[in-house]
Amino acid sequence: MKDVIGEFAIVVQNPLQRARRWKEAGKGVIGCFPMYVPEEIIHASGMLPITLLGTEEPVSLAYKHLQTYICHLVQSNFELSLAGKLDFLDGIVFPGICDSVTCISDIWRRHHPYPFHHNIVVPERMDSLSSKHYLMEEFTGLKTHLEEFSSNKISVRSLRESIAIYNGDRALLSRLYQLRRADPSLFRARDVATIVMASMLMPKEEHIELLSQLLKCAPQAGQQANSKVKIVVSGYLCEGPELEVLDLIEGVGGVIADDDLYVGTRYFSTLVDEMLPPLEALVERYIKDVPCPTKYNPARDWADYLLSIVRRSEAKGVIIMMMKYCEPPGFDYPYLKARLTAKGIPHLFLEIEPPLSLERIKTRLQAFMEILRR
Amino acid sequence: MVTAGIDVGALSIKVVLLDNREKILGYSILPTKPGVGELAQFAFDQALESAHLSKSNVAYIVSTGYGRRLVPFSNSEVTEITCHGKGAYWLCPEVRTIIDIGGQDSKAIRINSKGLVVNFAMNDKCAAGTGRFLEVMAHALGVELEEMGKLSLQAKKTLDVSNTCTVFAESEVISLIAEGHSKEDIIAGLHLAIAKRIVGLVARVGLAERVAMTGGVAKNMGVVKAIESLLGVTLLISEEPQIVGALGAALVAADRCEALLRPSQQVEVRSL
Repeated sequence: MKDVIGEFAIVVQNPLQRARRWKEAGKGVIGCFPMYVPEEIIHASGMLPITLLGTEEPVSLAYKHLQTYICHLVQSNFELSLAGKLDFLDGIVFPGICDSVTCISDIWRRHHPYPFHHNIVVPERMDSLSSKHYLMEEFTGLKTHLEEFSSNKISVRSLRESIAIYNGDRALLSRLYQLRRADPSLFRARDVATIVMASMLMPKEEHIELLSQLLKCAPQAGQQANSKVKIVVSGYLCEGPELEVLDLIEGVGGVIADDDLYVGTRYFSTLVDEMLPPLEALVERYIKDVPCPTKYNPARDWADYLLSIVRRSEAKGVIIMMMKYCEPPGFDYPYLKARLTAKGIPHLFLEIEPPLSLERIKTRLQAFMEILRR
Repeated sequence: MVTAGIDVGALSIKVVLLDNREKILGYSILPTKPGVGELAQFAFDQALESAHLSKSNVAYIVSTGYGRRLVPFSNSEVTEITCHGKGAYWLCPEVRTIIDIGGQDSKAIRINSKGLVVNFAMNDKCAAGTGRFLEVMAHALGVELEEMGKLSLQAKKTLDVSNTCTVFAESEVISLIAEGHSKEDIIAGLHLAIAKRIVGLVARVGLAERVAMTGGVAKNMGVVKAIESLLGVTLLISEEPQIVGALGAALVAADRCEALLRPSQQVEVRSL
């Protein structure tokens, strides 16, 4: 199992390398800002979609164009672009998830354009029929633009095939999480995050192959009682969690039983309905996806969702890791806090701002464990 | 049973020696310098001396604070959050909220009727609203840190100083001096700036009376009065608020020592 995890780690440690190799083989690569990009459509066009998750390298060039109070993800991705590190990309897709991602699109187009530049305007309200029609037009627009750009017609059949591949990967990731829930000590949290992150950075077919191998040799749930405290981590809405923070949680006696992270259950837990016409199915998936604080949808309540994750994993506490300057989840936090408190579930609010000061984070985590352990 | 708590903070090291959870036998406070391990030893020796004890009298040592992992002779470590909760509760069991302003940290801690921490909030990365903030300002104003409290009580008005960043606040202070404002009025403004930050932290954990203040900044009457007026409560402050964290560590040491003794006694019983 270690060898396979090592393969995933290589992809994650150098997040652009696999995509660059793909490009060198003469195939197209499209960078995607997180969350509302239906990657299946890009996949069906024969290009490789990768999610732009930023890096830990310090930001400097981007400050020329951006205010300091923009989240790390946007700053870091733009920094990579200005430094020329994304020049191998054929293009970028910007979904309208928040003000920062919406506005960076035009700044980007002006200062460091790529041949393919596409915005997806995602409706703010997700609960109406018109939002469904609107998103359908947006996804159709992406498809048409990709067809023009790649000179490849995206047939219904190829889109269905891509959806099936993506669903296959989602199912394997869900299986991995199921195993972890049964015995969270089986996997290190950093390995699980690495596996999910790799899925966003490499061809899905390769990810499926590796993950299938891993699941075949994954250890079975142990019967011995575990003294570690089960934790659910939430937050990191569209960036990958810092692996060091996950290590710290384990280092102070916690074990992550489940998560509500973008690089986690948010990415894979809902499947695309393979019985529906493919574009419609993709729209349905995003409308009915996990509750998202960037959109209004009273039918999908974030607190209900988080509480259900806590229940199913029998966690003792929740750690909410909030990216500094990420506004949408910040506005929802008081509500989450009230709901968790009403259920008697202790939680820790951890503000994350790269570069991390780990010692400060460790003190907070350790104090939280001292509360949970007694 | 004598236990010791060692609180290695960002600005000072505090040691408390406690007898059977009942009586403080001695304590010491030393400024933190590089070489924390040796310094902690020195502070420990000083505390032992003040209590007329030797190291062999101490059954268990717990370290806390920023440098809690740097004390080579401690038996175990615990965070300062738990310690301030324990220490303040020991001093007054009616306490439910604790405001601790130390060298580089400010925190609000909520404890329950058993003295156990239920929630806490801490300042973010910047040192604004901490002891270090006051130190920087004392230096900019050319006054002693210890005088600030008294000086602020003589203020004719409270000036407006921002509380978001220590460096920006310092340049504001320099401008205010240049504009001819009195030191007293500026200091009153600084104390209010700290108090406003603390009130935000307290709101996050929820205010419940009674409220204690711990940490070195609790010795500054100006900050205390500013917090009291914003929160509308009277703060409970012990004679030596700086050692409450170390006191809590000594209490944790007593718990842990007892827990260690318990199973070994059972083993003895079985062997009989």
